[in-house]
This record gives sequence, structure tokens and C-alpha cells, in this order.
Amino acid sequence: MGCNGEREFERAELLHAAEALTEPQSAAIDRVLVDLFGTPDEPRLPSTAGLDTLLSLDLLRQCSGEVISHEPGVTQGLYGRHCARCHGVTGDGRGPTALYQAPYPRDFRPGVFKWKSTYRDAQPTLADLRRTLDHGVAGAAMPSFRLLAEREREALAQYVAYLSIRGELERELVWFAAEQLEENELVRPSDAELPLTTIVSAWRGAEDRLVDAAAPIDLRDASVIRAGRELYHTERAGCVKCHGEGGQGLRLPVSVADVDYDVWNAEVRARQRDAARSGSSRLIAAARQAFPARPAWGKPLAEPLRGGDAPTDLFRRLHQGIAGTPMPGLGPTRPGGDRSLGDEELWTLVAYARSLSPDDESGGALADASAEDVAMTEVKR
Amino acid sequence: MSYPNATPPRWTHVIAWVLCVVTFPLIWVGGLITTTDAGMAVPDWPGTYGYNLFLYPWQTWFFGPWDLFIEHGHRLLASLVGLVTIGLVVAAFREQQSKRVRRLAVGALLLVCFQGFLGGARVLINARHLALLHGSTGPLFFVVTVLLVAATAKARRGPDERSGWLAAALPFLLYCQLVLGATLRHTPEEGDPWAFALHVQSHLWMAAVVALATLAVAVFDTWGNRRRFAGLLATVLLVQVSLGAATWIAKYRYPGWAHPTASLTAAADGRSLAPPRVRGWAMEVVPATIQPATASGFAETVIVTGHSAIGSLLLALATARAVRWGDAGGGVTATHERSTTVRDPAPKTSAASPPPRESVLV
Repeated sequence: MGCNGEREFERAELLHAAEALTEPQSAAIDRVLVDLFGTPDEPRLPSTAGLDTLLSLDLLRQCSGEVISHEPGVTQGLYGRHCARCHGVTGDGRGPTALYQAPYPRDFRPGVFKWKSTYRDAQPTLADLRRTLDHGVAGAAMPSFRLLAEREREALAQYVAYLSIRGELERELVWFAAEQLEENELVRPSDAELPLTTIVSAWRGAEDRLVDAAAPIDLRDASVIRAGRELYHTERAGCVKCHGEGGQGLRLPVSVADVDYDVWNAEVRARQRDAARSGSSRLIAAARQAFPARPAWGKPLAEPLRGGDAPTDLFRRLHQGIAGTPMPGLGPTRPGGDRSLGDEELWTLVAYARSLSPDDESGGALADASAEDVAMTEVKR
Repeated sequence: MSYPNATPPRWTHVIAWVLCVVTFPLIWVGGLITTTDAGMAVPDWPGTYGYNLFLYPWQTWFFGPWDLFIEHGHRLLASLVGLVTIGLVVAAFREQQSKRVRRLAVGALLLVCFQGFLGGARVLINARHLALLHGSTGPLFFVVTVLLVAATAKARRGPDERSGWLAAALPFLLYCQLVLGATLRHTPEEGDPWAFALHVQSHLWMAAVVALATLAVAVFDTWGNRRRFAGLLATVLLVQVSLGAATWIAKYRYPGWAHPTASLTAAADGRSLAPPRVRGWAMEVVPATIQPATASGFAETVIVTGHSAIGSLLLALATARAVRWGDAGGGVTATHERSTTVRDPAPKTSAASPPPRESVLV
């Protein structure tokens, strides 16, 4: 909250402290970010690299500010109404209700998203963000917002992208200040141009980096499922190591060697360790405010899957893994690159995973699947 | 002490009942507004989009957006409650009710005006902390309506020696718990997660205290031959505790300690497996991974709103129970005695008559 009562985005204090920025340097980054992106009550949209054509300022304004309607059925402050209590006003995943949630709400600022149709190192498309809003995330607190008007969901997806781009730029500026500037030098607005161009270009180019997921096979075929099951249990695919025998999830006993972290928790964990060693009061205070890091475990496949159970979702997840998590990709990291498994093999794994799914094709996941999934279902019938 | 031959209160008692019965749905609708964050669906007050509250086109209200429907509906229902309260005050004075009843009625009118003002101020300055105050005053008004019903009733039962002080304290405990719950529901978006966690823990510890106190009163009432009331109290408590757990799961799914991976993390850290054993039992009843909730979906909305509304119901029941005990204590009854004696002096022999068996509120 600003001195005059106007809200401000929260600084990524743990990052600033971990990179040993001085307070004036942090304040200079805050000013650059406000100049470019405004505040939670009055967002701005820089035209850098065509960001103002990727996102609509009108839609962002509908998400920003306090919740209020000035005409029946048209709500302002959509993000505050639907998202901020979990994801935080800044999109840092530190909303007031976040601490006891498992998993923690997503921190949008690193610009890493799990559920997407693009390559692992690519940004999600706005349609991917929309899809998560439409379907929610099974097992997590993230609900489906399908009852919201189409325009409102579109606005929220754009606002998430806006917060993510802002957060990514903040990280870049912090690293820039830490690596390129002396202690008495401050970040200038012009320093933001290059990193912002790179960030926005990645978002604009997401549509060109879709993972092709056409599947000309019958996923209900018993021989395909059998082949998938055999492949699942091989060292080559490596699924069983985390997802357990028969997709039942990892069972006890487990050891410290089995513990792994996703990027969000790994980063916090590393900084909390650094804080103990550093003696920096700023870092210690910031680390104390951070949530306890939680390990990432391979999910049981016989339960509703967080990213959706649609065949194309599963294929893309196997192909590229899940960005930000220990789940590796079995396909190439770029079109035509080296790969662990071929597309046909991946589809057999999809068939096997779907055969374990509790609601199979009758559940909500398939009902909302993309057109190609629906067509595939018709073939199966 | 009772007065079976005294002129029974007529319209005041009937109106008090009507007021109590109409206030409960108002609390539901108010809770619904908080659940769906529809408080600002109408930006002006006391009018609705420039219209007089009562002249707003009903078609737009009834067939319009959901948040407008409940916010404007809340205002209309609140107006009805205000009008009934005015009617109650008029009846209390016309029927020359006791000073205590008249004071209570006037107090109810002042409180409902204050509550309406709070609701309006919440809208006009769009302040969530006023919504919290508004949400905490609503149940207080509900309590006053219960007091009015009790005060205007013609018969009361004797005290219960064993649970008297506990029954008297229970409404206060429940109200504290209700306010703690309201702070959770009205947490601002920019609130601190550690502060919220503290509120959650306070709400849970207080829930344990309140549940034990309520159960104790129910047990004492069972021994004291008030089985119907005890059964009702215990049932409402059970529903409320279940709704509390369901509310958390509906909004946030399983907490970290109950999450399917908790046993793995605990084992990897070499920690005790006690919580996972609890979770193992829970997983026999509920699925390990739940499909996503639907934001503003029917089931989620009813569960969350129900938890806040049933909390008020529990408070009302506890108040009714406490008042019955308190009234029989003597002081207040004496005032009532003076009042009824003026209107219709009862034969002295009637004072010795055994108290009627019917209960006041249950």
C-alpha cells in the first residue's frame, strides 16, 4: 500500500535481498516497473515489442482496482475478486490464503507455467492460460471459472500474462543490477528495454512453438494400452521411478535421495539456506517470510490429473515434461531434435495413462477437450 | 416463574417471531454476498443504480446478473426486516409491554438502522473492513430478535443448576468464534498470509472450545430432561463442524498435512507418520485427488454460505437457551411481573401454579 492509500505491487524482496541489492537500487527498479506497468489500481501497458497488441489495456483495467460494478453485470476488479486472495495482488503466489494450500498457489513472476501446449522452454499461449481458468486444476485449490463470462475469463488470462511479464522483467532487472552495476549505480528506464523486448517476444512467439499432438491411433486398443504399460515400466521411459508401479504413485519407503523440488520451491529453499549462512539481516528477514519449501512428488496416475486428462494434454506433457518440475520430457526440446521416445511410443503411454484414469473419457476433462480429442473419441466409439 | 392467567402478549410476540424468522434468511443472503463477493454489484446506496430501492425494475433485478440479484435482493429483504422492526416497536408500545421489551424493541430498531447504515457505508466507500463489521453485526441483530421472542413469550422454564453458567457463557463464546470466522471471510486481497494462518489457527482452536462447550450444554440438557433441545443443539453443532471442514475443502482442497504426498515427505525427512496415518484413514472415505471446484458453483456456494449462516443459527439457539436460564433467575422476571400486573392482575393463587411444560422456543 502506498503512502497515499494507492496500492502498489509487492517487491520480490527475497530475490532483491538474495542478490544483495542496496535499497536505492531496489527502489530504482520499483520506479522503472511502476513507469512501465503502473499499479494494481491503474495498470499501464508499454508498447515495447508490441506488448500493447498482445494484451488489451481495457481488459487489464477491468481486472485491476477494487471490486465494483458501475453497470449491471459488468464487474471491475476481476483479479481482486477471483484470484488475489490466493495468487496475491502481485501474482507472487503469496495471497493471504496461500500458506496452508497444497500445492501453493502459482507464483506467476518467474514466467514458468506447467499447463501449456508449447515447448518446455516456451511461454504458454493465452489460450493455455484460459484453459486452466476454464477447467481449474484437479487436486489443487484452483477452481474452474467456467461460470464467468467469456470476456471476463479472457481478461483474467491477459492479466495473468501481464503480471508474469512484469515479474519476469523485475527478475531480469535485479540480475542486471547485481551483475552489471556497481553498488552506487541505479537501474535506468532504458536498461529495461532489451530484457522487456526479449520477454515480450517470447510471449508473442508462443503460438509458433506449439507441440504438434495429432494422434492417428486408437487409444482404446488393448494392444496399444499393453504396449504403453510395458513401456511405462521400462528404464527407457523411466515413468515408474516417480509414478510407481501401475501408476499408483510412489509408495513408502522413500529416502532423501527421492526428494526433489520444483523451480519455485527450489529457489526459495536455496535462498533460505543462503540466508542462514549470509548474515544479511535483509535476506534473513525475507527468507523468514517465505513459505516452507515443499518437495515435488510424482503424482499417481489413477487419480484426476492436475493438468487435465485429455489425450493431447497427456501427449504434450510426456513430450515436453512439465515446465518447472522434475517431470522430464521424453520428446525433443525443439522440433526435429534428439528424443528419448518416438511419437507413437508416447501415444501408447498416453493410452496406458488414460486407461488408469478414474473417469476416463466421460469426465469433464474430455468433455472440454479440443476438437481433435473429440474427433478421436468418435473414432473410438 | 410463570403467569398462565395473565393476558398473553399478542402482536408483539407474533411480530417478534416474524422478525426472527425473516432475519435468518437475511443472514443467508448476506453470507451469499460475501461468498460470491457481490457486495459491490450495486455501486450506490440507498438507491439501486439511481432508482429508488423499491422502484428498481423487477425484471432487471430478477432476470439480471446473479450478483445484482442477490445484492438488490439483500437490500429489499433488509428493508422488510427494518419495517417489521418498526412494526414491533409500535406493537410493543401499543400493547404496553414491559419496559424491558420496549427497550429491547427500540434497541433492535436502532441496531437495524445501524446495520443498514454499515451496509450502505460499505458500498459507498467500498471498504472491506466495514463489510466485516456489517457481517458481524448481522448475527448480533439476529440474537436480539431471539431475545425479543423470549422476552415476549408467556412461559419460561426453571434454571438448570448444572449448566447455568456454561449456557450463559456459550453465546459469548459462539459470537467470538463467529467474528473470527468473519475475519477469515473478509480477508483483504493484500492481507498477509502469516496473519491469515494465525486467524485460521485461532478459528480452529476456538471451534474446539465452542464445540466442547456446546456439547457439554447438550449433555447437561439431556440429563435435565430437555432432550429435544439438546438433540437440536448437538445436531446443529454437528452440521456446523461438518460444514466447516467442507468449507475448507471446497475453497482450498486438502491442507498440506492431509495432502496425499504428506506421508512421502514425512518419511523422507524421517519424521513421525502420525498425520499420514490420519490421512490414510481419510483417504478411505474421500478420494485422494478431487476434481476442481467451480468458482461460484452451486454446491461450493451453499457449503460456504451455509457454514456462516448455521453459525448464526447456533448462536441463536445458544442465546435462547441462555435466556431461558437467565429469565428464571428472578431479576428480569420481576420487571415482567410488574408490567403484566398493571395490565391484568393475576390471582395470587396462579403464582403457585406449576409452570407449563411447553418450551418457549423449541
